[in-house]
Amino acid sequence: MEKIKGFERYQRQVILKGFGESGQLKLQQAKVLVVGAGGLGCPALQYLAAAGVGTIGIVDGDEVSASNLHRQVLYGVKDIGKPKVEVATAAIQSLNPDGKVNAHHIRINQHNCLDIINGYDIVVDCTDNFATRYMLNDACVLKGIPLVHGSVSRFEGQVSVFNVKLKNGKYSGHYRDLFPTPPMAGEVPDCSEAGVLGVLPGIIGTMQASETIKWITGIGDLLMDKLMTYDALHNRFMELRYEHSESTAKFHPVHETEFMDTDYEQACGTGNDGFMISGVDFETLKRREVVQVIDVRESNEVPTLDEYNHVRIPLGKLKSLLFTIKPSTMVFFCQSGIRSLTAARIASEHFGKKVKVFSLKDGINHFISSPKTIEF
Amino acid sequence: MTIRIFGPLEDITGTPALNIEGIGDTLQLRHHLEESYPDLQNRKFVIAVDNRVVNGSIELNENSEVALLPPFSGG
Repeated sequence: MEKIKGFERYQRQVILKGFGESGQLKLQQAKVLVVGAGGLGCPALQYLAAAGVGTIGIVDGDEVSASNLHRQVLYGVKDIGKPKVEVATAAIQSLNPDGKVNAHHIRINQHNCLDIINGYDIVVDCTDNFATRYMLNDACVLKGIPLVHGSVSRFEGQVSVFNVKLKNGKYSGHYRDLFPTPPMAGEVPDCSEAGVLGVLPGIIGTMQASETIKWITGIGDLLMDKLMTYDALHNRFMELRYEHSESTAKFHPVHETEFMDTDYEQACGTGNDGFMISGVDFETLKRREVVQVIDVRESNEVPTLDEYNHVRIPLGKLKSLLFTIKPSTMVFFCQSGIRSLTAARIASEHFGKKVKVFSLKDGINHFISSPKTIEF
Repeated sequence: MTIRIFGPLEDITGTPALNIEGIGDTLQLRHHLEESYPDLQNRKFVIAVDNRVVNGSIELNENSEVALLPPFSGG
């Protein structure tokens, strides 16, 4: 039997009922990837290394900055400007000199993601943006790897364990069972806009480490098909159940080439561009295929559009009237292109990524300012 | 029924908890909320009833405990 390296360091957890030497050996043999070495990543990395996880991967493309220090407790003032993975690697190596650390000083994206996560038993999502969160989720679903989710906003946090292989060979629910499609830019403020209490990611990141250790050692109940929310201001925990549905598959790539072709940045950060279609491209599209044109302005708004065959569904009624729209290419327009963007998002969420959904840039103005053919 | 508002959605409702009566199901509730607080139309959130995330629509009663939950990006 393989020996436990540095046994004395782990004595206090080895004596725990159900943990034992076998639990410690499982940790020593485990390979855990922590994506993001920020507010969540720092405590997660510290506790995973301290617990004796044998191989830890760290992915982060950032350098330490002064505004990180109130919550990213692995770093000090002297580290400002240094790559986070470099400082974090040194810190966790001193917690477990027998462990192996793989440091990736890069920004993870859809092209390098599958290579990076390959070979790890479990991934911990400590990232700070929706593009990476959805990408990691989809990659882990593709590869059958469990993903420990943690996220924070202001005084509140969320934790869950996604995509755990069950005894019957199926998998537990994942991010897209909770939130099928990413929010677009501006729909959810991030920490730099909304702020975050420094201690909060400390609590949530530590819970992620705890769930990871429980999954590796097989003790206790995981936050599987459950989302735990924590409100630091009012000391409230809440556990919400959710269910995995096969129908969420329409929202994520189902094979690797499709994954590599998915532009997650575009679907989130600058997500508007994914739906926006220029007047010229709209005309081209209309020549190539049958396009449903949908006006989402209120019924009293002028000018009316007479040139094109179209239907009128005010934005407020769109959700209840989605069933009247065919699941084929559609272009929404409004007065200026803002409401139609919301309409495109709603329709895309409903119909999934197989249906082409667009929002006409500049709205009705496109039709008014475009030159008309005058027949004599 | 009581409705708890999570995260930055509270900026829109102006309060962390609401009491609403006479709403039959979660689809109607979403319409009602989006009418009362139009900015909610542009926010992503799920509705949970009695600690269960709702896909589609389920019936509500006066004792239903509802939560509006947005995703968080921060880390």
